[in-house]
Amino acid sequence: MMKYLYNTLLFVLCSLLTPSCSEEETNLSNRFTNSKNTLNIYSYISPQDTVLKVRIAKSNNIIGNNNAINESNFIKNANVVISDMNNNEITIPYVDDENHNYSIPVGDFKIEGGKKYSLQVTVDDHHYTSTCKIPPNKISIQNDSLIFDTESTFANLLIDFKDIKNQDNYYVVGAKITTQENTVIPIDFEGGRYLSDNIIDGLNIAVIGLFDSSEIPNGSKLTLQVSNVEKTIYTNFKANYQNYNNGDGPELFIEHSIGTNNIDGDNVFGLFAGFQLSEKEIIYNKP
Amino acid sequence: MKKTFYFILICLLTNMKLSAQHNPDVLKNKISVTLQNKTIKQVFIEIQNLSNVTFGYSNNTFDENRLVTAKFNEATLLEILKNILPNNHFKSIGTKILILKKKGEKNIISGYIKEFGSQEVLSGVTVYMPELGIGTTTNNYGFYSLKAPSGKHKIIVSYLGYKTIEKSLNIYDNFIFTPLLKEHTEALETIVLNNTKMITDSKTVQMSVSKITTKNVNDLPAIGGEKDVMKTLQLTPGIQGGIEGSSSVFVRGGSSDQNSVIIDEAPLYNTGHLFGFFSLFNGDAIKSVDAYKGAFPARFGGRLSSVIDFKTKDGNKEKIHGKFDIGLLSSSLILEGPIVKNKTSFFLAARRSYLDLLLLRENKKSDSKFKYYFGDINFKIHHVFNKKNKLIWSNYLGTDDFNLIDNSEKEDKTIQDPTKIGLGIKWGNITSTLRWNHEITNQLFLNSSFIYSNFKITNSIDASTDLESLHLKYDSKLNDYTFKMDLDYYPNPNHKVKIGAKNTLHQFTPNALKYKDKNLDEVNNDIQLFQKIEAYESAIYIEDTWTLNNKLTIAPGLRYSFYKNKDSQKQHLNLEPRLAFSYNLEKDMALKLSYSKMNQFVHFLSNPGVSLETGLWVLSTDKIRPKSSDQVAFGVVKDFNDSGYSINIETYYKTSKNVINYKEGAGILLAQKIEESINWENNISIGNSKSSGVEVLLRKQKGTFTGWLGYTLSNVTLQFDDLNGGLKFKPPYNRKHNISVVVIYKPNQRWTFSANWVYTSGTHVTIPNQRSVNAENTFPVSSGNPYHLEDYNYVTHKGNFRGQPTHRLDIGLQVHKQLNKNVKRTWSYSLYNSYARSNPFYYSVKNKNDKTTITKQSFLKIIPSINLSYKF
Repeated sequence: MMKYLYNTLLFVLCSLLTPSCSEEETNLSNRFTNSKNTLNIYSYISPQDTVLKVRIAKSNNIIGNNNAINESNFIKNANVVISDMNNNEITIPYVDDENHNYSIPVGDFKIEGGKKYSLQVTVDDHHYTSTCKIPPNKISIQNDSLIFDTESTFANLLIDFKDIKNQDNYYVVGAKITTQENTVIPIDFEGGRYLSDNIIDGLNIAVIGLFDSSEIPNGSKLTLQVSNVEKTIYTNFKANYQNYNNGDGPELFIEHSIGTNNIDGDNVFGLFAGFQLSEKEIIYNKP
Repeated sequence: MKKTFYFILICLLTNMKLSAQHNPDVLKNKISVTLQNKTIKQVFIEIQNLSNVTFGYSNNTFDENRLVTAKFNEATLLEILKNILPNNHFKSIGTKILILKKKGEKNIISGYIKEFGSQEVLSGVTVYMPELGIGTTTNNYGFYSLKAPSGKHKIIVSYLGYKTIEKSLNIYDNFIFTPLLKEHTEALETIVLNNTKMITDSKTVQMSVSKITTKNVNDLPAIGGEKDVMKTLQLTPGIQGGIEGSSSVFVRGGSSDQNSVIIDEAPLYNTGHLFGFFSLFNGDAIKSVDAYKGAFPARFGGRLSSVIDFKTKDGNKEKIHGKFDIGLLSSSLILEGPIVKNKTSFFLAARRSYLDLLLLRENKKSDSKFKYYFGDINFKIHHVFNKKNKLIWSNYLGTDDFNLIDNSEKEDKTIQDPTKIGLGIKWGNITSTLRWNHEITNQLFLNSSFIYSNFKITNSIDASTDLESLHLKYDSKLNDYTFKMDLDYYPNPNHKVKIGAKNTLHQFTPNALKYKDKNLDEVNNDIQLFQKIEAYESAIYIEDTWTLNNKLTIAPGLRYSFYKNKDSQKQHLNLEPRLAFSYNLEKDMALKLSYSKMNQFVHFLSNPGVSLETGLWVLSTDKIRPKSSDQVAFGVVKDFNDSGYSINIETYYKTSKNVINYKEGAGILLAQKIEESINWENNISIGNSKSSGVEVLLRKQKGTFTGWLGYTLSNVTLQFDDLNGGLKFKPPYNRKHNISVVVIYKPNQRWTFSANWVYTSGTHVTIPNQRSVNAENTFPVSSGNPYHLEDYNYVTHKGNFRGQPTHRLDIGLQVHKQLNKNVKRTWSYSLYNSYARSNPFYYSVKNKNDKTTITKQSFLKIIPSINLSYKF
């Protein structure tokens, strides 16, 4: 709402102050301090994982073109290794499918809460490294409730969980409904998906998601998901989400946020981070 | 003859020893005498007749013609003489009494320097005694004090823009000298009659200061004809502007909240009308402005980067005067005059914009309405109780009111339940200062002030249908209550001491929120949230300007500041040393060096992105520690006296700690939850700043052509753990090169031509230029937002795009005409950005025809203005 107010204000100011207001498209690509494509590495690990995944791709420079990411962006020849502090390591191979991930079942390589892990990626003799620490605790989902709008087909899902006391915590929340025909309907929590306990500590946190209930049969499986994540995940996801909502470009009153990067190496941007996932399954039943 | 010998003494000295041993001391003789308005000379004759003594003295020992009224009953001659001549001492030789000057004793010359015709006190006026090589300048209240030996001495009083006064004074005793300076009326006449008699920059220890007079402001072209002091300051080195057209200033790499903007000693927390495009200051109400960028005297504190000290006019004590100004955006009226002639004066300046009045008709026709206006009032009363006591009450009241009602849905008959939307932003300052000036002695001047400052901004949104209404209001407000005392002490010509104390109670409500949602069922879902912070800020200080010899002057100072937030146990006690040196390499050339430590306890949270000065003012808390800075500056100044030119080159290095900024993705407009906007502390990142630069000012202050050339080379780097991945970055206000050329040409009394050309390097902007697979795409927590399926645009570093440089030429012309003895008319024409340069206001990214391009938004291209003013 406040953003709306200020954007309206801008429009009014512009039209009042300046009959000479103008908008120009000019070739200003040379004014960027760095226009090189970067390497993107994303990997999130948790004790609840059955498969370890790493995604590696090259970015596209978008100024002057509008190249979408396609298969050619994915790096397939990298050497990817995840190791723990006891020098146990696991090499993760590229799996040539539509996900374009490096992935491998966890097997004997265990991801444990409170432990540190390292990622090493080598692409064409360039080395990239990162470390992460899995949050020690997993939260438990306390309450949930479905609220159906009597005047429309929309419904709300409320998830309630207790914040972990005496420490800074960051959460990513989600939910999905899986029908008996295996159709997955995700529930949208919008910006409320990313939570921190910087306002409260140790108290209950409630988050509300919205979905269209019109085509969901009773008896479907409703999966509630709350992940207790490292701060880097929270800051990176939240920044990206806000940038997307703000039009993926600078606005007059809003500056584009810089997502967190914790990968070391030249010309690289990405995230290697840990989380603990809590899930609760209930049977969907619309009265 | 200036040098006279004690002729009687010479005669007497020859037999002094002989007679002194044998005669009783005549000074112990007792007499009774009544003196009624008699000169000293007459008194001596009377005493001679009564006690058979004679007096010996030189003709410059005291003022023979001074009148005396006193009554003595059986008093010794010594008692009588001490009473009527307190600054002399006496010796008896036989029946002769010698009256001598006290060894090394000097007389104090003090007083106020005022303007002829209005009796407006003038600060910063040079009072100089060339034969003795001593001089001083008047303080903020026009008071000065000098010590000089007895004798006949020349005294020169000079001030830029006023005719210099030269007088010979017979000084035998303490002396009150209060000359009235006449303003220059002849344009062709040199502004400075004789620079050698002025205390120019090369002769003061103060450095890093920009001085602007009302004349500078009034002579220069301005957008919409709004004479703007802050925009004139932007034309001086080291003081940079914000976005195109804005009146906000950034000084030596500091953010805008690091400027202490003071009007008659009261702090102003917002300095802009129309979202910062025009400054709050009615140019006609301002007497002078001193902007300190470094080398801060110890009397100033509380902000890191600058002190911008505005002094308003006191009001004419002799005659009613006024000025009426009609512009395109606003009109103003000034009225000043005596309430009690030569004793009490008033000054009133009022200004109002009238865009809303012009739109009245349009608003009546339409369901949708727009209203905006700004206005301000300066009001002052100056009362002289007596020569030693004055009371000054000055007030400022300013407001901006923006309202928009959108009822366009009502006209669309297809909409069943049309929504009416109302948007409003209103902000304003109120300040009030009550000052008592008291001259304790002719060497000791006291100013005591009670100061009140208030700032409030309200953002409101109303949405209503026939079924439901919603009202959301954000308030941010603050009140400051201050008491301060400043003592100016002039012990001797080599020292000028200032001592003072200040205590402020801050009451801040950074964000108060009211939310009302009323539906058909009459169920109110009201929410009221606010946070209130109170704190004490106090300081004591001492500073001295110490002239060690003709070449070296030092100005040591110490400020001890105290801050305590009422909700915190922690007290912040800080020593803030200040030191400045000035060494004269030659008569008109000086090297200067200074060091200042500053602390700041109030902070401004502005929107990330372009700030329109509508953020939140907050106080230091346990989480948000006070900011501090250390600044070193070195400079050289040379005055070319005969030509009126001067050059000033300075370099500085400044580091600041605990500077604050919103965390990545946080901001007033980005709060996801109501609580987030109230609990601002959790969204703050704390970091450091480093800035350095070189400033050059070549100035011409004499002749028909005046003006200056300013150049600034600067570099600012910020570092915050929570921003830009912890890496250093350049803030948007970092502009490497700044050039300003200002020319004012006054060929005669009728015409004033002026022009200024400015060039600034582009700002640093953050623009995403890379596209990647979505970082969240492989995260296993389900999302219903389509965003997670898409690629996303990102940028790896803040400020990755260097905007284009800004430059423009503004030109102005003023035509003055004296309509009759009392009325002067001035037509002012100005052309802002005369060659229509498309200067960037902001940049945006656009996707068009499968191509991503950067778009530059510009405005303020060729803005013509016209103003008409009548001065009476």
